[in-house]
Amino acid sequence: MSPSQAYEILGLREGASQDEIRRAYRDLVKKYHPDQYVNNPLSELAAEKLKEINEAYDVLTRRESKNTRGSYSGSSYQSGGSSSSSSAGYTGEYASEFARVRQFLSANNVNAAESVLRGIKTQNAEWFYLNGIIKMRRGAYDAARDSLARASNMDPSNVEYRNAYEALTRSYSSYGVQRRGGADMCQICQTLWCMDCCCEALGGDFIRCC
Amino acid sequence: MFGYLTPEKGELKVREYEVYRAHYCGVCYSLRHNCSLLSSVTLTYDCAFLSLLGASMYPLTAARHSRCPFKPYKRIHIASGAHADYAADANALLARKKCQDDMKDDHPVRGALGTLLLTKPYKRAAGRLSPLLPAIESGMERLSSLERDGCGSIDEPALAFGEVLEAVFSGIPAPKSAVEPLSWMGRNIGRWIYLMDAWDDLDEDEKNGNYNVLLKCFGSAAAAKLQRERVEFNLLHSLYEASTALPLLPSSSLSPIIENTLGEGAAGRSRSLLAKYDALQCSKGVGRDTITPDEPACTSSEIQEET
Repeated sequence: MSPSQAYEILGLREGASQDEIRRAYRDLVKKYHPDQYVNNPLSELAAEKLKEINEAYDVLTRRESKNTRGSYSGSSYQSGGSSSSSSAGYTGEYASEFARVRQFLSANNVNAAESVLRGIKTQNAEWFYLNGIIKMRRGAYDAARDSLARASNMDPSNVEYRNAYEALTRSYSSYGVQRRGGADMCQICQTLWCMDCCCEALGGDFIRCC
Repeated sequence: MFGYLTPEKGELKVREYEVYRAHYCGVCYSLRHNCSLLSSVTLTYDCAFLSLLGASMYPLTAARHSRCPFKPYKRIHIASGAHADYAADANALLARKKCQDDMKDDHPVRGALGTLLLTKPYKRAAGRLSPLLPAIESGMERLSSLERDGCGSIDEPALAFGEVLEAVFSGIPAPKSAVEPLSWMGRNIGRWIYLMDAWDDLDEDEKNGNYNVLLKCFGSAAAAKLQRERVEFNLLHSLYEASTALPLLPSSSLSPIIENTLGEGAAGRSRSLLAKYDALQCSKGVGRDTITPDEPACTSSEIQEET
C-alpha cells in the first residue's frame, strides 16, 4: 500500500501530522469496531475494513505491523462476536450439542445451528440464549429479546447472557438522540451568576455592576 | 411504502435541505417522464431517500433548474440520473402493490381504481426492474399469506415486508461492495416501516376488523398501547441495525443527509408516532401530521386538487 492510498483510506490529505493520523485512526476504529457488529451479517465486511485501516495506519506511522496495537489487529475479531468467545463455559446436559451450535454460529451457518438446537430437548438457560442469538441473526428481534431475557432470568449469574440482553436494550434506548455537548443559554447564565456569588462571598467581584 | 422516512429538517444545513428537495423533485421528474404523469401523485419520501442513497454511490449527479408542473410559479432544482430513475420505478412498483393490497382489505373502491390507473406505469417500471420482481413477488406473497392466516408474531410479517424492501434496496445502481450493506439496510427499514404502519393504524384497523399484527399479538388496540415499550424496542432496534450499514457504504457529500434521515429523522418520527395515543387524548390531530417536514415542492393531496 502506498502512502497516498493510506491517506485516502484514513480520509486525510497528504502530509497530515502524526496527531491527525492518530485521531482519524481512532475515530475510524470506533466506527468499525467489532462491538458495533455483534450478531450482524455485515461483521465480516466491517472486519475487512478495519484490517485495511490498520494497514494504512501502519504504513503512515512506519512501524512494524506487529506489536503496535495488539487488540485492534482485526484477525482476533473475525469469528463473529460474543457467541464464540466463551463457549467453554457451559458444562451441563447436552454440552457437546450446545458446543456444536456455538461452532456453527461462529462459522455463520445459522441454519445448521438452528437444526442442532431444535434437536435438544432440554430448554435451559443455555438453550434460550443460543435460540436468542439465532433469532438475532435472522432479524427476528422481538423473539430474540424475549429469548435472551428468559436466559438471563433463568441464570442471573451468567455474565454472557446478561451482557447479550443488556446490549440489545442499550442499542435502542439512545438511538437517534442528539448527543450535543455544550451548554444552553440558561446554563451559561446560571454559571455566571454562581461565579459572581462565589466571588462576592470571597471578597472579590466577578460582575462589577451587580 | 408509506412516507415515514423523512429527514429531521431542523438538523440539516440549508444546503443539505436544498439537495434533499432536489432529489425529491428528481424522482418526481423521473416518474412523470418514465412512468406516467399520474404516477407522480404517488411519490413518497421513502423513494426520495432511495434516490439519495443511489446518488451517494456515484457522486457525479447532474442538478439543473426547472419549473414544477404542479406549481409553475416555483423554480426548482432537479437532481436526475440513474438513481432517480431507479427510485421512480421502485415507487411505481410499490404504489401499485399498495393499491392491490388496499383493494383486498380496507379500501376496495379506492384500491381498485388505483390499481387500474397505475397499471401502465407499473408495467413500464416492471419491465426495467424485471430481475428484482421474483424476490418482491415472493415477499409480498408470503406477507399476504401470513396476513390471511392471522399471524400473531411481530417478527414474521415484518420480516416478509423487509424481504420486499431488501430486494428494492439491493437493486440500487451501486458498486458491488455496497450491495450487501444496502440489502441489510433495506431489510431493516422494511421491518421498521411495516411496524410503524401497524402502530399508526391500531384504532382504525380495530374498528374495521382488518388484520394488524399488533392487534393479533396483543389482543386489542388498548392492550397494544400498554405494550408501547416492546413496540419501541422493535422499531428502534430495526433502525439501529439498519444504521450499521452506513459506515460500509461509500462516503460522499450526501452522507450527512442519509445519516440524518436514518438517525434523528427516523428515530424522531418513531418516538412521536409512539406518543401518538398519549397526545390524542389532549388534542386531536397530534401525531403524524405535525411532524411532517415542510413539503418539498408538492404533495399528493395538492396535486389531486390541482389536476
